[in-house]
Amino acid sequence: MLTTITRRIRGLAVIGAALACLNPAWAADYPERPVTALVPFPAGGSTDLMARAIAQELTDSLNTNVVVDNRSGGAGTVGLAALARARADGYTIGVAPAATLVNQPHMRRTPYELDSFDYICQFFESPLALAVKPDSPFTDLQQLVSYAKSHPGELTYGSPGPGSLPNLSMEQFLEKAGVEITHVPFAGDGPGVTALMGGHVDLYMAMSNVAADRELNSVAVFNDEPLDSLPGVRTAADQGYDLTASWWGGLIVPKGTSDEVRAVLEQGCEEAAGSERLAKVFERLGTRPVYLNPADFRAKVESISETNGRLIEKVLKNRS
Amino acid sequence: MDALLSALSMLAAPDALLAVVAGTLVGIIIGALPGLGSLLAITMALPLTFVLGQGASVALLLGIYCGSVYGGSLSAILINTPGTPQSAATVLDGYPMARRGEAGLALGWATTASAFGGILATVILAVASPLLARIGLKFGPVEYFALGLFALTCIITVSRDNLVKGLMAGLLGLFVAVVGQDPVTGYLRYDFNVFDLSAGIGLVPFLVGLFALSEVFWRAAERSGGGAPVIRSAFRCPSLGELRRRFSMLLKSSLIGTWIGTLPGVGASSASMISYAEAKRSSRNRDKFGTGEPDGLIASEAANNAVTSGAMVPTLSLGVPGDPITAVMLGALVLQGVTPGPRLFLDNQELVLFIFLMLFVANICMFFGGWLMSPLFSRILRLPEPLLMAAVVVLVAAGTYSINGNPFDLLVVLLAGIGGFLLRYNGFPLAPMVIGFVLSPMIEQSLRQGLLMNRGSFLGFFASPIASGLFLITALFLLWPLLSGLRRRLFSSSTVKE
Repeated sequence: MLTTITRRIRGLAVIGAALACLNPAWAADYPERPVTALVPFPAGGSTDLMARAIAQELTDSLNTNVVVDNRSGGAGTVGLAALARARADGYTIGVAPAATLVNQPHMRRTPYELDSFDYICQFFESPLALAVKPDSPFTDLQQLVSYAKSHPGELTYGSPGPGSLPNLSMEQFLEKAGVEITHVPFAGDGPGVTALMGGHVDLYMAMSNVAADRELNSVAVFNDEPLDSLPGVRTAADQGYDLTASWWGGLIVPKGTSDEVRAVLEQGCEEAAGSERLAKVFERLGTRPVYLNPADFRAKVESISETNGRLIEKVLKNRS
Repeated sequence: MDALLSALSMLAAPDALLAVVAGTLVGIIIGALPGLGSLLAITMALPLTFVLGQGASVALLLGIYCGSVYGGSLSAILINTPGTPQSAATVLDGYPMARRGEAGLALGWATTASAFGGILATVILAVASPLLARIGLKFGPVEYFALGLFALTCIITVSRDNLVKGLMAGLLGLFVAVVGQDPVTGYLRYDFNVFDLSAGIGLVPFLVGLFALSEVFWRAAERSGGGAPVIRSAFRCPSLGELRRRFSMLLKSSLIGTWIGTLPGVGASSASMISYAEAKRSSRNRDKFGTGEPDGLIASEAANNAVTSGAMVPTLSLGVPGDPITAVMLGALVLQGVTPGPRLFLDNQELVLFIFLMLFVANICMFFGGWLMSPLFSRILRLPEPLLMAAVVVLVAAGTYSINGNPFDLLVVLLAGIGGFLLRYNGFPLAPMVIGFVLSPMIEQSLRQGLLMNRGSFLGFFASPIASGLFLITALFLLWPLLSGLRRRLFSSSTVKE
C-alpha cells in the first residue's frame, strides 16, 4: 500500500519534473519572478537614469519587480558581455546605450557582436548639439566652417572620449564640411563640458539637454527639426549639412529568448515608452521617449554600426 | 531671509534629521569596510530616494557621503587598509601611529580633522560657491597636468627609507594604470587580447589587493616569527593644546581639500595626496612623516572630507558632477525635480541653503558617530589574529565583487595581493605604487590633451600662469634638499669666518 502511494507520488514528481523541463511551453506565465535589468554604466549616469525610469514602468506593465543592476567598466562592454552570457529566459534584460553596441565592437575585441542579442525596442533618443565656448565669435556653422577652412587644425573640439558617439558624429560632420578641427577627448561629459565652459576648448559636441541646462551657446542641433529647449539654434540640415546625430539606446535581451517572452517584453516596452509618467521623468532629464519597434531598432543599430565602423577605421585607426 | 527660514524648517523636519543621522552612521560602517566605498553606499541608498521626500533624500545622501569618506580612515588606521580609496594617504601615518600603541589618538585626530575639514569647507561653500565655480573653470588640461605633477612629489615623501625603490614602485603604479583603453586614441594597451584587461585595472580591486590582502599574507608569514603587536586603543580626542599647535595644518589641509573638491574630475583620493605632499613640504615635523606623524594624518583626513563639500560646488552651481559619487547625487537631485546649474542659486535658494545646513549637520553627526563607533571598531582588533585575517579576506572578496559583479576583479585582488606581498618582502614601499596608480590617468590624459591643444608644443604649458606657478612649486620641492644643503654650507662657512 505504502509503496504504491510512494510510487504514485514518485510518478507525479517525474511528470512534474518533465513538465517543468518544458518550461518554454509555460512562457505564458512569464514573468513569475523579478527581472534583472543590466545597465553597463554606473549608477547616477545618464544611461542609469534612463534605465531606472524604464524599469519603474516595466515593473508596472510586467507586474513583477524589474531591478536595475549596474555592471560598469570598459566603456559599457563589461556589462553587455555579461548580458550576452546570461541565460536567454527573459529574466535578464539589458539597457544598452548605442555606443556600446555600434562603436565598441569596432574598437576592441568584445565577447559579443550585434548578433548576440535580440532587440526589443528603442526607448530613448536625445539629439546632439554643437556647443561653443562662452566668448566664441561663432553663431552658426557657416562662420565656423569658413574660419576652420582658413585655419586648419587650429580650433579644438571636445568629446566624452575617443570613439564615443559625439566624437564620431563630429568627425562625420568635419568630413562633410571638408575641414580639420583638432579632437581633444575627455573622460566623460563632466570634465569635458567644464573645459568648454572655461574656454579650454572651442567647441563641444554635447547632448542637447546638457547644452540647454548649462546655458551653453550652440551653433547647430543635429536633428530633423529645431528643439524647443534650444530656441534660435538652427538644425544642421537647415544650414546646409544634411546630418543628424543623437545619443540613443534601448532594451535588448540575450539571443535565443523565446518568442513568447519577447512578445511580453516588446508589448511592455511599447506601453512603457508611451506612458505619461515616463514622459514626465524624461522631460525632467531633458529628453523624451522615442520608441522604435524591434525590427526598426535592429535595422538602425546595424546601419549605424556600419557607418561608425568605417569612421572608426578612418579616424582612430589611421592616426599615427 | 525667507529662504533661510524655510531652509531651517526643512532641516528641522524629523524625517530629514533621522535620515541624516542614519545616513552618516551607515556611511561610516560601509566606508570602514575595505572594498565597500562611498559610491556603493550612495548607490544602495538611491532607490530609497524614490520613496523619501526631497529633504529626507538629500539629507540621507549627504550623510552617507560624509560618513563614508570618514569611515575609510578607521580601517586605514587600524588594519593598514584604506577602507575607501580616499583614505589611501591616511594609511601612511595612521597605521604607524596605531602600531606605536596610539591608535586611539590616531582615531581622534582622524575624526577631528575630518569634521573640521568638512565643516570649514561647508562654510566656505556657503559663502563663496558661485565664485569658486568660476575659479574652477580656469583649470583646464594644462593646469591639471601641473597639479598632478606636484602631487607626484609625495612619492618622495613616502619612500623615506629607500628613494630608488620608492621611485621604482611609483613608476610601476603609473604603468599599471596604463593597461586598458588609451584615453586619446582609443587603442587598447597591454590587453594581450584578454577582454577583461581591455577595461583596465579597477582602482578598488587593485588598492584592496595591494593593501588588505598583502597585509593578510604578511601577517600570515610573520606568525612563525613574533606576533604582531596588540593594538590597544580607546578613542582619544587630541588635547586643546595639541589642537592649537596643529591648527594651521588643519586649516591649510581643509582649504586645499575644498579647493580641489571644486575642480571636477580630480576627486578626494588625489586631493588627500596633494594635501599630504604639501604638508610634507611645509610641516615643522616633516622629517617624521611616514613614521606616525599626526600632521600627515591631518593633512589626508581634513582634505578628503573637505572635498565632500567642495565637490558640491561644481555639482550645484554648474550642474557638472566632479566624480562618480557626485554624479549619483546629481542624478538623485534630478529625479527629485531639481535641476542643478547656474539658475539653481537664484530659483531654488532654500534648497541650496538646506544642502549647506545639512552638510554642516552631517559633519557634526560624523564627529559623534566616529566617537561612538571607533571604540567598537578597535574592539574588533582584539579578535584572535587568524580570525581577523580570515574575516578581512572574506570582506575584501565580497566587497570587491559587489561593486561590478565581475569575477575578474577578484583575480585582480589576488594578483595585487601577491604582488604587494612580494614588493614588501623585497623592501619596496607600497604607497608610492598607489600614488602612481591614482594619479596616472589624470596626468596622462591632461598632458596629452594639453599637447593636442598646443599643437604638440610643451612650451605652451608655460603660457598658463597657474600651471607655471605649480611647476615652480614642484621644482622648488624637488630641489629643496639641494638648496637647503647649499644654504647650510654657506651659512656655516660664514660663521667660520667670524
